[in-house]
Amino acid sequence: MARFDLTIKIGGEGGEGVISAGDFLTEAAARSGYEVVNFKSFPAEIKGGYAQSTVRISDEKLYSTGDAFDILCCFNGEAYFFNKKHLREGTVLVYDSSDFEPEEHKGVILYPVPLSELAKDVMKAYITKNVIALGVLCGLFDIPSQSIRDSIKARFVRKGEEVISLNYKALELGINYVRENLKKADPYKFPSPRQPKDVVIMEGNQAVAKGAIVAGCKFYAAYPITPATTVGNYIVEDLIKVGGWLYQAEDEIASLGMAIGASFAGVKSMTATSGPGLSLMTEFLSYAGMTETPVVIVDVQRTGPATGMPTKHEQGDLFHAVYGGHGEIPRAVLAPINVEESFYLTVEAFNLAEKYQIPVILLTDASLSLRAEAFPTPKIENIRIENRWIYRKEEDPEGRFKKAGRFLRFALFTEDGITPVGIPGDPEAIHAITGLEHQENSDPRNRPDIRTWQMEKRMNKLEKLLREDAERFYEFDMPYSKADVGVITWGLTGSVTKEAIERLRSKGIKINALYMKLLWPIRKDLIEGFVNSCERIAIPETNWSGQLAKILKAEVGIDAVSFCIYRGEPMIPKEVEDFIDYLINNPEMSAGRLTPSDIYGEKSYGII
Amino acid sequence: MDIKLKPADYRSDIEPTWCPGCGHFGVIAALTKAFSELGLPPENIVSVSGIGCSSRAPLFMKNYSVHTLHGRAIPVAVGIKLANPELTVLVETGDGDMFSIGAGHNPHAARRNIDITVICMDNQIYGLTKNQISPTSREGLYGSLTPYGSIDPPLNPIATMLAYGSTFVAQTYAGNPKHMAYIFEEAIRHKGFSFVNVLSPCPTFNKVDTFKYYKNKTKDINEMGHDPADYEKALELAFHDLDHYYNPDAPVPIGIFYKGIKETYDERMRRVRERYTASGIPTVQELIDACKPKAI
Ligand SMILES: Cc1ncc(C[n+]2csc(CCOP(=O)(O)OP(=O)(O)O)c2C)c(N)n1
Ligand code: SF4
Ligand SMILES: [Mg+2]
Repeated sequence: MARFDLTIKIGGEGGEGVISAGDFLTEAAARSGYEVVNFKSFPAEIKGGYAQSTVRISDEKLYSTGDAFDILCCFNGEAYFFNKKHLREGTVLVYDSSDFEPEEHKGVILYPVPLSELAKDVMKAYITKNVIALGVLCGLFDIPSQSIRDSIKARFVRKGEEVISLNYKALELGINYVRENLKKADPYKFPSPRQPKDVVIMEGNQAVAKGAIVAGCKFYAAYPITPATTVGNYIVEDLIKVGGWLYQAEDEIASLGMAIGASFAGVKSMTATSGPGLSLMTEFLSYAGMTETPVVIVDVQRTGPATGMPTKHEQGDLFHAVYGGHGEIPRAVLAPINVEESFYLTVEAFNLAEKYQIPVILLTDASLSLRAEAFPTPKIENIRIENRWIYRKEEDPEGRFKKAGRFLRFALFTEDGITPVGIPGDPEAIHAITGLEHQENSDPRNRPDIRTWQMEKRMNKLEKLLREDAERFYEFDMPYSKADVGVITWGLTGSVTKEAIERLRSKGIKINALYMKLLWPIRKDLIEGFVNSCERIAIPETNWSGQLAKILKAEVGIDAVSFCIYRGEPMIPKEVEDFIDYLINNPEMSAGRLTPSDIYGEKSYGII
Repeated sequence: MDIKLKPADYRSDIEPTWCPGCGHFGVIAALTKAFSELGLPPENIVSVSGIGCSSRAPLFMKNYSVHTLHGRAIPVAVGIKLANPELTVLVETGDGDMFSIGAGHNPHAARRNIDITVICMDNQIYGLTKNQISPTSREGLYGSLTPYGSIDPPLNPIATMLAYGSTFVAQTYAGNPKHMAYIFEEAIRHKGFSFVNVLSPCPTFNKVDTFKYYKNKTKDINEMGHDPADYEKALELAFHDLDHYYNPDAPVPIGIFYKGIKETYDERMRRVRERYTASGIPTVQELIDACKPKAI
């Protein structure tokens, strides 16, 4: 268990610097050598609306931003309103006393600071409010103000010395305000710095962008959609510097088409979107499978259906990613549980796409996209990069891949179904690709024998994937030979579950866990092995149907109890904990679906 | 290329599946002639198409071919061109493919002056799906879904592409092989987005816009003195003087309506790249390390 574990939440109006204040705290933690996770959420509105940034700092690996907070810093009354139910005995509330006064809260430690007044009247610059607040936090909790200064400088370097010194002054103002007006009444203290680790801080979508660069992506087709747009924002300049290009397409149909075109021309390519865009891409997804064109599609899931809640979390596109599209194609679906994995699984998405010449879908989500984490700096030389098999005449002295002068792009004689691609410019590999069923030399054919064999060629590539590349995407945590409950999770819910499991185990509950990072294709034997180690299976998911549970039922035949939350916010560890406790108290339940109402009472949406 | 390839050398060994008398035959004959005249190595040509009778064309030719989805040839062609600007990229499409389902892509590839050549085989009908009206069908045309005779005014492809900013816009006719080959050559040679509308009759389903109808009706606008540099006049010609879409008795214009000089997208892309890499190209590790929390 961690000796040190502190969560600071800042809330206020979008545009007031809530997010950058959280970013600066995150950097302070990383510079001081601590583990840090930061979860941000923006309002859907362009201006105004409630924004928050929750920063959790610990001396041990962190999986989530926890259940609530220790310190709440409210820039306005709205932030207080949204969070007041989490004010417990011993929590700290720092608030803008020029905006509101809180109600009576037993045992809550209050630090009123007239943030707006100080910004307006003393600083004569309302925009410095967030930095004044940071000064207050530095003064109260020993947060190293030098680190905040470093962050200010890095952030505003382009805006010039004047802006930097204005913000330094605001920081001092906050620190001095504490010294002159407040008396420390709480036990919270930022830990003293330890040896800083070699880390990077990335947001989820930034990690996807960096992973793509590492994988060798050179073409990115974009169509703006929340919450996927920032993948493009993050990648565009890196891509240009390494000789690639980001093209803003006219729609998502075009973006996947362009990515497929670029891939046909021999370049690793990708696109990123969210649910509505994935729907538009589905015809081309089918085409990529049919033509065996490597391509990576990132779906930063948001709350559906239709336009849903564009800035909000959900794990609702799993069915679409796994089964979506007309006809049947080979594909792989990956899903990271945290930011670090967003980076590495993006590289893996390209590797699988290249090796098997298939479309690969990477499923992340709105909350993961905005989560920032400090994690060990990836070292390029340790990262394996896979490239597609490109036809070279010198490697084919007997001309196996040629017949009657034609290149056999879709040759049927390789054991694993993988055949070399020809890249335009090579006179030896001239060929066509077509969405029509085709024979070995690409000519369209309707014959039942050819159809059968080409289907088998395409689909059987996944058999090889299952043999050679699936196991590393199953993270088993199985300390018990027979656990009371086995939890299977995916995506962001996986990292929340990790924390819940630590707590459950410390209460003596025997619990095994499986974190699935590869959602398709499925290694039946690995799932069965896990299931056999547990009395019952529990699958928490933030969707209505319990999509992973249903897929595992269909593909492996296992029964599980689903816990489904579909409110647009991720689960918190306590909810997963309560779900498992509920199962322990209801030993007869081994299949079915639970919602917050079953656990917390009618009309519940959970305990956030 | 030491020896110039003959037009036949650009033909694949697949026999076209088109109906006898289909205009599309002439199109690939003229296109392969243009390839031959230009001395293009087949391995550097990529023919991209959508779905339709016309969109089968790439499969009948010896070059890299991408037979995509209905209406989606242009995006795929754009991706190919940007990934490798050295390639000669063509789109071989139909009036339905390009101006109905795929119409949303045209303005963007055109205005951005992507250096591809789009050849639309315009038979004013949906051939492959067996006789439905297309966006270029004239009013009154009987299609299987408009047994009463179409009540839709047609779209004018030349005017549309001129308005979208296509830097090369021409029309030619499948019954005039020489003119077709000449126009294709000019279109491919043009640096920038080129659009060629080919009046390519479908004798099976369109009983109005036939070879017989076009015979002696086409007028070469360039021979008549039209200067392709004159954009205003090109619009005028497309919209009024020679608009046979609205006036069936008007002569049918063929020739180059417009040819303008404008920097291509890939040239502009290259300039941006140069700007970004002027002070050196970072290593991938450096791009990762940029995410470390910097101490100042
Ligand atoms: C998404 C989709 N919708 C419909 C079709 C059916 N379809 C195939 S070709 C075609 C029309 C082709 O017309 P055009 O482009 O004018 O080509 P033509 O056959 O006349 O040469 C249609 C509607 C399809 N293949 N895909
Ligand atoms: S249906 Fe019409 S367009 Fe299609 S091949 Fe036959 S004649 Fe040509
Ligand atoms: Mg047509």
